[in-house]
Amino acid sequence: MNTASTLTPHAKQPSYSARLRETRKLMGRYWQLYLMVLPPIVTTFIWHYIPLYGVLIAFKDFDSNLGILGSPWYGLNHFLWFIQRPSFYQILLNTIRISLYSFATFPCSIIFALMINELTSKKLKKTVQMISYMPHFISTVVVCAMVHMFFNASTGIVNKAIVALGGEAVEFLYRTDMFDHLYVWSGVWQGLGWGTIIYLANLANVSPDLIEAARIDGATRWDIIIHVNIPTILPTIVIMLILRVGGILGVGFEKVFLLQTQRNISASRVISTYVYELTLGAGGSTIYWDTSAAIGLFNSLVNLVLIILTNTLARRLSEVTLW
Amino acid sequence: MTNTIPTKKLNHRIKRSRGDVVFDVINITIILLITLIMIYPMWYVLIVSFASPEEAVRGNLYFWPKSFTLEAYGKVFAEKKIWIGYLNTIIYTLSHTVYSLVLTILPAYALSKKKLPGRVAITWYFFATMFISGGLIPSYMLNKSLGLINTRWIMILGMGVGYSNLVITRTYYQTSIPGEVYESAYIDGATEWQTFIRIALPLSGAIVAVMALYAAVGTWGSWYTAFIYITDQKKWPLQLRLRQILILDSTQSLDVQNMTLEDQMEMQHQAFLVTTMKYAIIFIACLPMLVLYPFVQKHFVKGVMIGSVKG
Repeated sequence: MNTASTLTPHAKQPSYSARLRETRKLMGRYWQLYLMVLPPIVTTFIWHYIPLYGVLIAFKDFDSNLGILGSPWYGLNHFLWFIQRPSFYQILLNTIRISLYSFATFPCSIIFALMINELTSKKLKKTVQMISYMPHFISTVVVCAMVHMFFNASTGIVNKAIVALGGEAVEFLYRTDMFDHLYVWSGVWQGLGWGTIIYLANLANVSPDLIEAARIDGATRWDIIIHVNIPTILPTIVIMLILRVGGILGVGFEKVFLLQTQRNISASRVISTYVYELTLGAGGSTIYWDTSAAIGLFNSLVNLVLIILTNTLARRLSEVTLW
Repeated sequence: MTNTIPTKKLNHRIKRSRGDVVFDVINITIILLITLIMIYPMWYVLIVSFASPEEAVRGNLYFWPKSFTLEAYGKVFAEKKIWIGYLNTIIYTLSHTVYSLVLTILPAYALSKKKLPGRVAITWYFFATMFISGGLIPSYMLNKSLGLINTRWIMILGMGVGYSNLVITRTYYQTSIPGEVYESAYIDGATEWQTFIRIALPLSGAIVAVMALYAAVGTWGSWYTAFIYITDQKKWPLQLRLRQILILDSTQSLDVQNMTLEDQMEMQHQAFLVTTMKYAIIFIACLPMLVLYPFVQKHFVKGVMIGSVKG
């Protein structure tokens, strides 16, 4: 396939037409590979890129009879409407607060991984891993149901324990000041162990010789954690951090919605649940479809900006980046 | 130490200082505590589901039930709605898993060929999906115009491919199967498709298992799609039914109303029974995962590891 000239050191770069010919030849040889990529390209186009086109209604006064293109332009009025709503600040604040609180628990898995890594007994290590991965396999609905049931004022075990210890039962799910804690810590419970896998895999690569040498030099285990183990997993931490920051306004609909009650709604209404409420929820209406698309777009754009910013920052600081 | 041989061994290891011992004690204590917190909620669900309703609601049940009854399970087994949901979930899980496997394994193999022209562009095409999406209403409009609303298809079809899974699988093909393996097939004049079927696929057992499990666990636990798109309760997956029974507190859906109420005590008993039934339902809903878990855990971990190679 290679001609002699391309192998000699002083050979000229193959000309444009030669490269084109080469590419064509490869494409001809690989046509079956393209056929293998085609189905997901089509499904991704349908279910991902076509809805992106639908986002156009965020700038339109959408009328389903006129269609997306036929509806008259509406400029940024939907965005303005959302920003001027009395509930806007509450929704935005809830979204940011819940995100930042969840984000603050980001180091939990790292610390837990470092701790598991220090276990000397293999058997204990295996058992701890086995048990702590388990909650990851419980569905979101069941986890939220468990929160509802355990924290129930009359039948829940948490309140029974509080009463037994002489306290007063608390209606956790009706309290606006409890929502964040329930949301975030149930998430930690579910994801803590699972989140350690990637760090433990990295820590397993630390050379035992390095640790032994450090020990002989008089390093304590604490020193080794700080100067050997943490630097080892740092690139992974940065990657995970970028991914987390990118999702900071993307507070998922599912768990918030499942933990939401009529009474805690002023603390639990976030952008994604608000979009649902406006459109498909019990009080929703098709009138708000265009508006909700605008709100969703606003949310996506903030996320996109955040992830690009963190990625740039990470490139400056550590040369570890997503792209 | 009368024997000299062990000392020789000890010399090789670094002596454990007092600081080490303190470190270990604190570390192990905290880890055990965390592990206890991890397992206790699951244990509690189990014991309540087997306890008598009176003990579960009124008594001090924390670690071990004094009573044992299968009454809650008996009632749950008679609950048709749950089993319809179960059956639906099994159908959706199997179909969607096959669907998304085809849409993940095939392109990942193709994209693992570094010489494939357009490879970078195609990868970006999938990568971009991670960061920007249409959102609820544009997706709803699309599925509506495709006629998928209130059909079972909405639970099976869809993108079927996620960027991270695509990269994990592609990395697997690039790192676990050396290029020379394919050489003989090419020399024999096999086409790309034949090479994939005859050589790559038989070597991909591990990654196919990982991807199948990811897809299956995801579909098993999903309720959102059904919640948005399916109003016909006969087509509801288990998770949506669980939400109705466990979270919306819809006791009507458990037919308590139709039970014969002999006296006040009996009524109370039935009310308490609803509570233990909920715990029994949780246990039944988690059972397939719990049974499979010890066998599949390794594969899941492997998936995360392969993914981390790319980083």
